[in-house]
Amino acid sequence: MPFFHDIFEFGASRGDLLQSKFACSSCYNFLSVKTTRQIGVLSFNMASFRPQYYFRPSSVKEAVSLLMERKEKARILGGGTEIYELAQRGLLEEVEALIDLEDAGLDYIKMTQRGVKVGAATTLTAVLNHLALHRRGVPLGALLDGLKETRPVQVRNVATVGGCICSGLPFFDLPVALTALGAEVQIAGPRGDREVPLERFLVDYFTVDLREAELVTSVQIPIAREFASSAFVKFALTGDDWALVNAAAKLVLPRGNLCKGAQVTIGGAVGTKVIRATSVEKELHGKPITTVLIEKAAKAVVNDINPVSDTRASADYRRRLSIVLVKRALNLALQRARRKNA
Amino acid sequence: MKVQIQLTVNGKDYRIEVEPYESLNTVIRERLGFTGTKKGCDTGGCGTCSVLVDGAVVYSCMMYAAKAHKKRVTTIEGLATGGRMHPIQEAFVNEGALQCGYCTPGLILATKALLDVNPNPTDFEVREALAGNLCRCTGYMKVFRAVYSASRRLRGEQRKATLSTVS
Repeated sequence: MPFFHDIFEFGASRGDLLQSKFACSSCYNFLSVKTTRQIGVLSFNMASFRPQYYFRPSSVKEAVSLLMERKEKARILGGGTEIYELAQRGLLEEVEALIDLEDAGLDYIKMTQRGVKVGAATTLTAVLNHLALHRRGVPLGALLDGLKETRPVQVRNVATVGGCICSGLPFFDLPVALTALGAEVQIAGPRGDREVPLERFLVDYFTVDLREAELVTSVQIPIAREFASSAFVKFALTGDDWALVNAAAKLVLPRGNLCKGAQVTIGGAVGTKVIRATSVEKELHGKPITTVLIEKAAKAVVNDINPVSDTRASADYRRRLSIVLVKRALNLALQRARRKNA
Repeated sequence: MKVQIQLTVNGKDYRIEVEPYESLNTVIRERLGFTGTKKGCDTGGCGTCSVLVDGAVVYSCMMYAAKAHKKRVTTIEGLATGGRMHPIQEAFVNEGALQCGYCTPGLILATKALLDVNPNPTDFEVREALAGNLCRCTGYMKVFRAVYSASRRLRGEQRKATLSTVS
Protein backbone atom coordinates (compact mmCIF):
# COMPACT_ATOMS: atom_id res chain seq x y z
CA MET A 1 0.00 0.00 0.00
CA PRO A 2 1.65 3.26 -1.08
CA PHE A 3 2.77 5.26 1.88
CA PHE A 4 1.59 8.52 0.42
CA HIS A 5 -2.02 7.48 0.48
CA ASP A 6 -3.64 7.91 3.82
CA ILE A 7 -6.67 5.71 4.05
CA PHE A 8 -8.14 7.95 6.70
CA GLU A 9 -8.35 11.05 4.60
CA PHE A 10 -11.36 9.31 3.14
CA GLY A 11 -13.00 8.88 6.52
CA ALA A 12 -12.10 12.35 7.68
CA SER A 13 -13.84 13.94 4.74
CA ARG A 14 -17.18 12.51 5.74
CA GLY A 15 -18.80 14.48 8.51
CA ASP A 16 -21.05 11.58 9.45
CA LEU A 17 -18.07 9.56 10.62
CA LEU A 18 -16.92 11.95 13.30
CA GLN A 19 -18.04 9.63 16.04
CA SER A 20 -17.76 6.04 14.99
CA LYS A 21 -17.20 2.59 16.25
CA PHE A 22 -15.37 0.33 13.93
CA ALA A 23 -13.87 -3.08 13.63
CA CYS A 24 -10.29 -3.25 12.50
CA SER A 25 -9.33 -5.40 9.60
CA SER A 26 -8.31 -8.94 10.40
CA CYS A 27 -9.66 -8.29 13.86
CA TYR A 28 -13.01 -9.02 15.16
CA ASN A 29 -14.08 -6.68 17.90
CA PHE A 30 -15.35 -3.14 17.93
CA LEU A 31 -13.36 -0.26 19.26
CA SER A 32 -14.46 3.32 19.43
CA VAL A 33 -12.60 6.17 17.85
CA LYS A 34 -12.69 9.67 19.25
CA THR A 35 -12.88 11.52 15.97
CA THR A 36 -11.76 10.63 12.49
CA ARG A 37 -10.16 14.04 12.27
CA GLN A 38 -7.76 13.05 14.98
CA ILE A 39 -6.79 9.89 13.24
CA GLY A 40 -6.93 11.53 9.83
CA VAL A 41 -3.49 13.02 10.35
CA LEU A 42 -0.61 11.01 8.99
CA SER A 43 0.75 10.02 12.34
CA PHE A 44 3.03 7.08 11.93
CA ASN A 45 3.43 6.09 15.49
CA MET A 46 4.69 2.56 15.59
CA ALA A 47 5.88 2.98 19.17
CA SER A 48 2.37 2.61 20.54
CA PHE A 49 1.66 -0.83 19.02
CA ARG A 50 3.17 -3.24 21.48
CA PRO A 51 1.33 -6.56 21.71
CA GLN A 52 3.02 -8.78 24.23
CA TYR A 53 1.54 -12.09 23.12
CA TYR A 54 1.56 -14.03 19.87
CA PHE A 55 -0.41 -17.22 19.45
CA ARG A 56 -0.71 -19.76 16.65
CA PRO A 57 -3.78 -21.82 17.47
CA SER A 58 -3.93 -25.12 15.65
CA SER A 59 -7.71 -25.07 15.30
CA VAL A 60 -10.61 -22.70 14.94
CA LYS A 61 -11.91 -23.81 18.36
CA GLU A 62 -8.62 -22.79 19.95
CA ALA A 63 -8.72 -19.44 18.15
CA VAL A 64 -12.24 -18.79 19.45
CA SER A 65 -11.14 -19.64 23.02
CA LEU A 66 -8.26 -17.24 22.75
CA LEU A 67 -10.59 -14.52 21.53
CA MET A 68 -13.00 -15.18 24.38
CA GLU A 69 -10.17 -14.96 26.85
CA ARG A 70 -8.58 -11.82 25.49
CA LYS A 71 -11.63 -9.98 24.13
CA GLU A 72 -10.85 -6.52 22.67
CA LYS A 73 -7.20 -6.83 23.51
CA ALA A 74 -6.67 -9.49 20.84
CA ARG A 75 -6.53 -9.25 17.07
CA ILE A 76 -6.69 -12.00 14.52
CA LEU A 77 -3.69 -12.03 12.20
CA GLY A 78 -4.19 -13.09 8.59
CA GLY A 79 -1.37 -11.81 6.44
CA GLY A 80 -0.91 -8.95 8.86
CA THR A 81 -0.67 -6.24 6.22
CA GLU A 82 -3.79 -4.38 7.27
CA ILE A 83 -2.99 -4.73 10.97
CA TYR A 84 0.40 -3.26 10.16
CA GLU A 85 -1.15 -0.26 8.42
CA LEU A 86 -3.54 0.41 11.29
CA ALA A 87 -0.79 0.00 13.88
CA GLN A 88 1.33 2.48 11.92
CA ARG A 89 -1.42 5.04 12.34
CA GLY A 90 -1.63 4.51 16.07
CA LEU A 91 -5.03 2.79 15.99
CA LEU A 92 -4.14 -0.43 17.72
CA GLU A 93 -2.55 0.84 20.88
CA GLU A 94 -4.58 -1.34 23.18
CA VAL A 95 -3.84 -4.61 21.36
CA GLU A 96 -2.10 -7.07 23.63
CA ALA A 97 -2.27 -10.29 21.67
CA LEU A 98 -1.98 -11.36 18.05
CA ILE A 99 -3.72 -14.59 17.06
CA ASP A 100 -2.16 -15.94 13.88
CA LEU A 101 -4.47 -18.22 11.87
CA GLU A 102 -1.73 -19.74 9.75
CA ASP A 103 -1.88 -23.18 11.38
CA ALA A 104 -5.59 -23.25 12.18
CA GLY A 105 -6.56 -25.28 9.12
CA LEU A 106 -8.06 -22.37 7.22
CA ASP A 107 -5.73 -22.41 4.24
CA TYR A 108 -7.67 -24.22 1.53
CA ILE A 109 -9.61 -23.90 -1.71
CA LYS A 110 -12.33 -26.47 -2.24
CA MET A 111 -14.53 -26.90 -5.27
CA THR A 112 -17.86 -27.95 -3.77
CA GLN A 113 -21.32 -28.70 -5.12
CA ARG A 114 -22.40 -25.17 -4.28
CA GLY A 115 -19.36 -23.57 -5.85
CA VAL A 116 -16.02 -22.64 -4.36
CA LYS A 117 -15.15 -22.50 -0.70
CA VAL A 118 -12.02 -20.61 0.31
CA GLY A 119 -10.54 -20.74 3.81
CA ALA A 120 -10.03 -17.39 5.53
CA ALA A 121 -6.27 -17.85 5.87
CA THR A 122 -5.72 -18.54 2.17
CA THR A 123 -3.46 -15.98 0.51
CA LEU A 124 -4.73 -14.02 -2.49
CA THR A 125 -1.91 -15.48 -4.60
CA ALA A 126 -2.92 -19.04 -3.71
CA VAL A 127 -6.46 -18.35 -4.90
CA LEU A 128 -5.26 -16.61 -8.06
CA ASN A 129 -2.97 -19.51 -8.92
CA HIS A 130 -5.55 -22.21 -8.32
CA LEU A 131 -5.93 -23.85 -11.70
CA ALA A 132 -9.35 -25.35 -11.07
CA LEU A 133 -10.73 -21.85 -10.60
CA HIS A 134 -9.38 -20.77 -13.95
CA ARG A 135 -10.94 -23.82 -15.53
CA ARG A 136 -14.33 -22.86 -14.11
CA GLY A 137 -13.76 -19.74 -16.14
CA VAL A 138 -16.40 -17.26 -16.99
CA PRO A 139 -18.71 -17.39 -13.94
CA LEU A 140 -15.73 -16.63 -11.70
CA GLY A 141 -14.28 -13.94 -13.95
CA ALA A 142 -14.89 -11.21 -11.38
CA LEU A 143 -13.02 -13.14 -8.67
CA LEU A 144 -9.92 -13.61 -10.81
CA ASP A 145 -10.03 -10.02 -12.07
CA GLY A 146 -10.38 -8.71 -8.52
CA LEU A 147 -7.37 -10.73 -7.39
CA LYS A 148 -5.25 -9.64 -10.35
CA GLU A 149 -6.04 -6.00 -9.70
CA THR A 150 -4.96 -6.21 -6.07
CA ARG A 151 -1.37 -5.09 -6.35
CA PRO A 152 1.46 -5.39 -5.82
CA VAL A 153 2.46 -9.04 -5.85
CA GLN A 154 4.21 -8.57 -2.51
CA VAL A 155 0.88 -7.87 -0.86
CA ARG A 156 -0.99 -10.65 -2.70
CA ASN A 157 1.56 -13.16 -1.46
CA VAL A 158 0.74 -12.55 2.20
CA ALA A 159 -2.69 -10.96 2.33
CA THR A 160 -5.49 -13.41 3.12
CA VAL A 161 -9.06 -13.66 1.88
CA GLY A 162 -10.37 -13.38 5.44
CA GLY A 163 -8.29 -10.36 6.26
CA CYS A 164 -9.29 -8.69 3.03
CA ILE A 165 -13.03 -8.96 3.54
CA CYS A 166 -12.82 -8.07 7.23
CA SER A 167 -11.03 -4.83 6.50
CA GLY A 168 -14.31 -3.00 6.10
CA LEU A 169 -12.67 -0.73 3.56
CA PRO A 170 -14.78 0.04 0.49
CA PHE A 171 -11.84 0.57 -1.83
CA PHE A 172 -10.47 -2.94 -1.53
CA ASP A 173 -10.99 -5.03 -4.64
CA LEU A 174 -11.86 -8.55 -3.54
CA PRO A 175 -14.95 -7.56 -1.50
CA VAL A 176 -16.43 -5.67 -4.46
CA ALA A 177 -15.87 -8.65 -6.76
CA LEU A 178 -17.16 -11.20 -4.25
CA THR A 179 -20.30 -9.22 -3.42
CA ALA A 180 -21.26 -9.17 -7.10
CA LEU A 181 -20.79 -12.94 -7.12
CA GLY A 182 -23.15 -13.38 -4.18
CA ALA A 183 -20.49 -14.72 -1.83
CA GLU A 184 -21.35 -15.89 1.66
CA VAL A 185 -19.23 -15.64 4.78
CA GLN A 186 -18.88 -18.51 7.25
CA ILE A 187 -18.26 -17.41 10.83
CA ALA A 188 -17.29 -19.35 13.94
CA GLY A 189 -17.83 -18.14 17.48
CA PRO A 190 -18.61 -19.02 21.07
CA ARG A 191 -22.28 -19.58 20.22
CA GLY A 192 -21.54 -21.78 17.24
CA ASP A 193 -21.25 -21.24 13.50
CA ARG A 194 -23.30 -19.00 11.29
CA GLU A 195 -23.39 -17.81 7.71
CA VAL A 196 -24.00 -14.30 6.40
CA PRO A 197 -24.21 -13.03 2.81
CA LEU A 198 -21.12 -10.90 2.20
CA GLU A 199 -23.34 -8.01 1.22
CA ARG A 200 -24.81 -7.96 4.73
CA PHE A 201 -21.50 -8.77 6.38
CA LEU A 202 -20.00 -5.52 5.11
CA VAL A 203 -21.93 -3.16 7.34
CA ASP A 204 -20.12 0.14 7.04
CA TYR A 205 -16.75 1.83 6.89
CA PHE A 206 -14.46 -0.28 9.08
CA THR A 207 -17.47 -2.20 10.32
CA VAL A 208 -18.26 -5.83 9.65
CA ASP A 209 -20.82 -8.15 11.17
CA LEU A 210 -18.64 -9.89 13.68
CA ARG A 211 -19.69 -10.23 17.28
CA GLU A 212 -17.56 -10.82 20.32
CA ALA A 213 -15.00 -13.60 19.92
CA GLU A 214 -16.11 -14.43 16.38
CA LEU A 215 -13.88 -14.95 13.40
CA VAL A 216 -14.40 -15.58 9.72
CA THR A 217 -13.45 -19.13 8.79
CA SER A 218 -14.24 -19.17 5.09
CA VAL A 219 -15.99 -17.57 2.14
CA GLN A 220 -18.27 -19.52 -0.16
CA ILE A 221 -18.73 -18.37 -3.75
CA PRO A 222 -21.80 -19.92 -5.39
CA ILE A 223 -21.73 -21.17 -8.95
CA ALA A 224 -25.30 -21.65 -10.08
CA ARG A 225 -26.35 -24.22 -12.64
CA GLU A 226 -27.67 -21.41 -14.81
CA PHE A 227 -25.03 -19.86 -16.98
CA ALA A 228 -23.54 -16.67 -15.59
CA SER A 229 -20.69 -14.45 -16.60
CA SER A 230 -18.86 -11.90 -14.46
CA ALA A 231 -16.14 -9.26 -14.55
CA PHE A 232 -14.43 -6.74 -12.29
CA VAL A 233 -12.71 -3.50 -13.27
CA LYS A 234 -10.69 -0.98 -11.34
CA PHE A 235 -9.40 2.51 -11.88
CA ALA A 236 -6.45 3.71 -9.83
CA LEU A 237 -4.00 6.55 -10.26
CA THR A 238 -0.92 4.34 -10.26
CA GLY A 239 -0.16 0.70 -10.82
CA ASP A 240 -0.18 -0.22 -7.17
CA ASP A 241 -2.68 2.21 -5.66
CA TRP A 242 -6.08 1.58 -4.16
CA ALA A 243 -9.07 2.08 -6.43
CA LEU A 244 -10.52 5.52 -6.98
CA VAL A 245 -13.53 3.55 -8.10
CA ASN A 246 -13.93 -0.15 -8.80
CA ALA A 247 -16.91 -2.10 -10.09
CA ALA A 248 -18.03 -5.66 -10.67
CA ALA A 249 -20.89 -7.22 -12.59
CA LYS A 250 -22.43 -10.65 -12.79
CA LEU A 251 -24.95 -11.40 -15.53
CA VAL A 252 -27.15 -14.48 -15.40
CA LEU A 253 -27.83 -15.37 -19.01
CA PRO A 254 -29.36 -18.85 -19.21
CA ARG A 255 -30.63 -18.39 -22.76
CA GLY A 256 -28.85 -16.23 -25.30
CA ASN A 257 -28.61 -12.69 -24.05
CA LEU A 258 -31.83 -12.46 -22.10
CA CYS A 259 -30.80 -11.23 -18.67
CA LYS A 260 -32.40 -13.28 -15.94
CA GLY A 261 -30.56 -11.39 -13.24
CA ALA A 262 -27.75 -8.94 -12.77
CA GLN A 263 -25.64 -8.15 -9.74
CA VAL A 264 -23.63 -4.98 -10.04
CA THR A 265 -21.42 -3.65 -7.28
CA ILE A 266 -19.34 -0.55 -6.98
CA GLY A 267 -16.63 0.43 -4.51
CA GLY A 268 -13.85 2.91 -3.98
CA ALA A 269 -14.60 6.24 -2.42
CA VAL A 270 -18.20 6.29 -3.63
CA GLY A 271 -19.70 5.23 -0.35
CA THR A 272 -18.78 3.97 3.08
CA LYS A 273 -19.05 0.36 2.01
CA VAL A 274 -19.39 -1.81 -1.08
CA ILE A 275 -22.57 -0.70 -2.84
CA ARG A 276 -25.07 -2.76 -4.81
CA ALA A 277 -25.97 -0.68 -7.83
CA THR A 278 -29.64 -1.67 -7.75
CA SER A 279 -30.63 1.19 -10.06
CA VAL A 280 -28.43 -0.31 -12.73
CA GLU A 281 -29.67 -3.83 -12.08
CA LYS A 282 -33.30 -2.75 -12.48
CA GLU A 283 -32.56 -1.50 -16.00
CA LEU A 284 -31.21 -4.91 -16.99
CA HIS A 285 -33.51 -7.48 -15.43
CA GLY A 286 -35.59 -9.45 -17.88
CA LYS A 287 -34.25 -7.63 -20.92
CA PRO A 288 -32.00 -8.77 -23.75
CA ILE A 289 -28.57 -7.41 -22.91
CA THR A 290 -26.98 -5.28 -25.59
CA THR A 291 -24.21 -2.71 -25.46
CA VAL A 292 -26.86 -0.06 -26.08
CA LEU A 293 -28.82 -1.16 -23.02
CA ILE A 294 -25.64 -1.30 -20.96
CA GLU A 295 -24.80 2.27 -21.99
CA LYS A 296 -28.19 3.40 -20.73
CA ALA A 297 -28.22 1.28 -17.58
CA ALA A 298 -24.74 2.33 -16.45
CA LYS A 299 -25.87 5.95 -16.18
CA ALA A 300 -28.29 4.94 -13.43
CA VAL A 301 -25.41 4.19 -11.05
CA VAL A 302 -25.35 7.82 -9.94
CA ASN A 303 -28.53 7.13 -8.00
CA ASP A 304 -26.80 4.52 -5.87
CA ILE A 305 -23.59 6.27 -4.92
CA ASN A 306 -22.47 9.08 -2.67
CA PRO A 307 -18.93 9.87 -3.78
CA VAL A 308 -16.48 11.99 -1.82
CA SER A 309 -14.02 14.62 -2.92
CA ASP A 310 -10.51 14.07 -1.63
CA THR A 311 -6.92 14.52 -2.73
CA ARG A 312 -7.24 11.79 -5.33
CA ALA A 313 -10.35 13.03 -7.14
CA SER A 314 -13.45 15.15 -6.86
CA ALA A 315 -16.87 13.68 -6.24
CA ASP A 316 -17.91 14.73 -9.70
CA TYR A 317 -14.96 12.92 -11.26
CA ARG A 318 -15.83 9.81 -9.31
CA ARG A 319 -19.43 10.06 -10.42
CA ARG A 320 -18.39 10.14 -14.07
CA LEU A 321 -15.85 7.40 -13.49
CA SER A 322 -18.50 5.20 -11.88
CA ILE A 323 -20.63 5.30 -15.01
CA VAL A 324 -17.66 4.34 -17.16
CA LEU A 325 -16.54 1.50 -14.92
CA VAL A 326 -20.01 0.01 -14.53
CA LYS A 327 -20.33 0.10 -18.31
CA ARG A 328 -16.95 -1.58 -18.72
CA ALA A 329 -17.69 -4.29 -16.18
CA LEU A 330 -21.02 -5.10 -17.84
CA ASN A 331 -19.54 -5.06 -21.34
CA LEU A 332 -16.70 -7.33 -20.28
CA ALA A 333 -19.12 -9.77 -18.66
CA LEU A 334 -21.25 -9.73 -21.80
CA GLN A 335 -18.25 -10.26 -24.09
CA ARG A 336 -17.13 -13.22 -22.02
CA ALA A 337 -20.60 -14.74 -22.16
CA ARG A 338 -20.74 -14.32 -25.93
CA ARG A 339 -17.31 -15.87 -26.41
CA LYS A 340 -18.28 -18.79 -24.25
CA ASN A 341 -21.52 -19.38 -26.12
CA ALA A 342 -20.07 -18.78 -29.56
CA MET B 1 6.44 -12.50 25.73
CA LYS B 2 9.24 -13.12 23.32
CA VAL B 3 8.40 -15.53 20.54
CA GLN B 4 10.93 -18.24 19.73
CA ILE B 5 11.29 -18.66 16.01
CA GLN B 6 13.37 -20.84 13.77
CA LEU B 7 14.01 -19.62 10.30
CA THR B 8 16.42 -20.20 7.47
CA VAL B 9 18.01 -17.13 5.97
CA ASN B 10 20.14 -17.54 2.85
CA GLY B 11 20.50 -21.23 3.55
CA LYS B 12 21.56 -20.90 7.18
CA ASP B 13 19.35 -21.78 10.15
CA TYR B 14 18.74 -19.27 12.88
CA ARG B 15 16.99 -19.67 16.22
CA ILE B 16 16.06 -16.31 17.64
CA GLU B 17 13.63 -14.57 19.95
CA VAL B 18 11.45 -11.81 18.58
CA GLU B 19 8.78 -9.51 19.95
CA PRO B 20 5.26 -10.11 18.57
CA TYR B 21 5.24 -6.63 17.06
CA GLU B 22 8.62 -6.79 15.38
CA SER B 23 8.61 -6.88 11.60
CA LEU B 24 10.68 -9.34 9.60
CA ASN B 25 12.47 -6.30 8.20
CA THR B 26 13.67 -5.23 11.63
CA VAL B 27 14.83 -8.74 12.46
CA ILE B 28 16.67 -9.21 9.16
CA ARG B 29 18.45 -5.88 9.37
CA GLU B 30 19.03 -5.30 13.05
CA ARG B 31 19.10 -8.74 14.55
CA LEU B 32 20.72 -10.74 11.78
CA GLY B 33 22.73 -7.96 10.18
CA PHE B 34 21.55 -8.36 6.58
CA THR B 35 21.41 -4.71 5.71
CA GLY B 36 21.15 -5.31 1.96
CA THR B 37 17.41 -5.33 2.64
CA LYS B 38 16.37 -1.73 3.19
CA LYS B 39 13.80 0.01 5.34
CA GLY B 40 12.35 2.65 3.03
CA CYS B 41 8.79 3.74 3.61
CA ASP B 42 8.09 1.08 6.23
CA THR B 43 4.46 1.17 5.14
CA GLY B 44 4.32 -1.37 2.35
CA GLY B 45 4.61 0.95 -0.60
CA CYS B 46 8.16 1.33 -1.90
CA GLY B 47 9.46 -2.23 -2.13
CA THR B 48 12.97 -1.61 -0.81
CA CYS B 49 12.23 -4.07 2.00
CA SER B 50 11.36 -6.88 -0.44
CA VAL B 51 12.69 -10.33 0.42
CA LEU B 52 11.77 -13.82 -0.70
CA VAL B 53 9.88 -15.99 1.78
CA ASP B 54 9.55 -19.57 0.55
CA GLY B 55 10.29 -18.25 -2.94
CA ALA B 56 7.58 -15.61 -2.98
CA VAL B 57 8.46 -11.93 -2.85
CA VAL B 58 6.99 -10.11 0.15
CA TYR B 59 7.30 -6.76 1.91
CA SER B 60 9.35 -7.63 4.96
CA CYS B 61 8.29 -4.37 6.61
CA MET B 62 4.68 -5.55 6.76
CA MET B 63 5.32 -9.12 7.79
CA TYR B 64 5.51 -9.86 11.47
CA ALA B 65 8.75 -11.71 12.19
CA ALA B 66 6.83 -14.34 14.15
CA LYS B 67 5.11 -15.34 10.91
CA ALA B 68 8.48 -16.29 9.44
CA HIS B 69 8.76 -19.27 11.80
CA LYS B 70 9.86 -22.40 9.86
CA LYS B 71 10.11 -20.45 6.62
CA ARG B 72 12.99 -19.97 4.17
CA VAL B 73 13.99 -16.38 3.67
CA THR B 74 16.26 -15.15 0.89
CA THR B 75 17.76 -11.68 1.04
CA ILE B 76 19.93 -10.03 -1.60
CA GLU B 77 22.99 -11.35 0.21
CA GLY B 78 21.83 -14.85 -0.59
CA LEU B 79 21.98 -14.54 -4.36
CA ALA B 80 25.67 -14.57 -5.10
CA THR B 81 27.30 -17.98 -4.73
CA GLY B 82 30.99 -18.74 -4.26
CA GLY B 83 31.85 -15.10 -4.78
CA ARG B 84 30.11 -14.99 -8.17
CA MET B 85 27.16 -12.72 -8.83
CA HIS B 86 23.83 -14.23 -9.76
CA PRO B 87 22.97 -13.69 -13.46
CA ILE B 88 20.26 -11.24 -12.45
CA GLN B 89 22.76 -9.18 -10.49
CA GLU B 90 25.18 -9.23 -13.42
CA ALA B 91 22.46 -8.15 -15.79
CA PHE B 92 21.53 -5.20 -13.59
CA VAL B 93 25.16 -4.12 -13.45
CA ASN B 94 25.82 -4.56 -17.16
CA GLU B 95 22.66 -2.83 -18.28
CA GLY B 96 23.24 0.12 -15.96
CA ALA B 97 19.96 -0.63 -14.23
CA LEU B 98 20.93 1.08 -11.01
CA GLN B 99 22.17 4.49 -9.90
CA CYS B 100 21.89 5.07 -6.17
CA GLY B 101 21.22 1.37 -5.69
CA TYR B 102 18.70 1.74 -2.90
CA CYS B 103 15.82 0.05 -4.72
CA THR B 104 18.11 -2.50 -6.35
CA PRO B 105 18.07 -5.35 -3.82
CA GLY B 106 14.28 -5.29 -3.82
CA LEU B 107 14.05 -5.10 -7.61
CA ILE B 108 16.50 -7.96 -8.05
CA LEU B 109 14.60 -10.17 -5.64
CA ALA B 110 11.28 -9.32 -7.29
CA THR B 111 12.91 -10.22 -10.62
CA LYS B 112 14.13 -13.52 -9.23
CA ALA B 113 10.66 -14.33 -7.91
CA LEU B 114 9.28 -13.65 -11.41
CA LEU B 115 11.87 -15.57 -13.41
CA ASP B 116 11.78 -18.54 -11.06
CA VAL B 117 8.18 -19.24 -12.06
CA ASN B 118 7.97 -17.48 -15.42
CA PRO B 119 11.24 -17.84 -17.33
CA ASN B 120 9.97 -16.04 -20.42
CA PRO B 121 7.76 -13.19 -19.23
CA THR B 122 5.98 -10.75 -21.49
CA ASP B 123 6.43 -7.02 -21.07
CA PHE B 124 3.11 -6.86 -19.23
CA GLU B 125 4.13 -9.68 -16.87
CA VAL B 126 7.44 -7.97 -16.06
CA ARG B 127 5.67 -4.72 -15.24
CA GLU B 128 3.14 -6.52 -13.07
CA ALA B 129 5.87 -8.38 -11.21
CA LEU B 130 7.87 -5.24 -10.52
CA ALA B 131 4.90 -2.95 -9.82
CA GLY B 132 5.63 -3.09 -6.10
CA ASN B 133 9.18 -1.75 -6.40
CA LEU B 134 9.64 1.96 -6.90
CA CYS B 135 12.77 3.51 -8.40
CA ARG B 136 13.40 7.23 -8.43
CA CYS B 137 16.64 7.17 -10.41
CA THR B 138 16.51 5.00 -13.49
CA GLY B 139 13.11 5.54 -15.06
CA TYR B 140 12.77 1.74 -15.19
CA MET B 141 13.72 1.18 -18.85
CA LYS B 142 17.16 -0.18 -18.06
CA VAL B 143 15.66 -2.25 -15.29
CA PHE B 144 13.38 -3.94 -17.82
CA ARG B 145 16.34 -4.51 -20.15
CA ALA B 146 18.20 -6.13 -17.29
CA VAL B 147 15.24 -8.40 -16.62
CA TYR B 148 15.07 -9.51 -20.27
CA SER B 149 18.82 -9.98 -20.45
CA ALA B 150 18.81 -12.07 -17.28
CA SER B 151 15.87 -14.12 -18.51
CA ARG B 152 17.66 -14.90 -21.78
CA ARG B 153 20.78 -15.90 -19.91
CA LEU B 154 18.87 -18.07 -17.47
CA ARG B 155 17.08 -19.77 -20.34
CA GLY B 156 20.45 -20.58 -21.83
CA GLU B 157 19.98 -18.38 -24.86
CA GLN B 158 22.96 -16.32 -23.87
CA ARG B 159 26.05 -18.01 -22.63
CA LYS B 160 27.50 -15.18 -20.66
CA ALA B 161 26.62 -11.71 -19.52
CA THR B 162 26.73 -9.27 -22.39
CA LEU B 163 25.76 -5.69 -22.85
CA SER B 164 22.55 -5.64 -24.79
CA THR B 165 21.29 -2.67 -26.74
CA VAL B 166 17.82 -3.89 -27.40
CA SER B 167 15.28 -5.33 -25.01
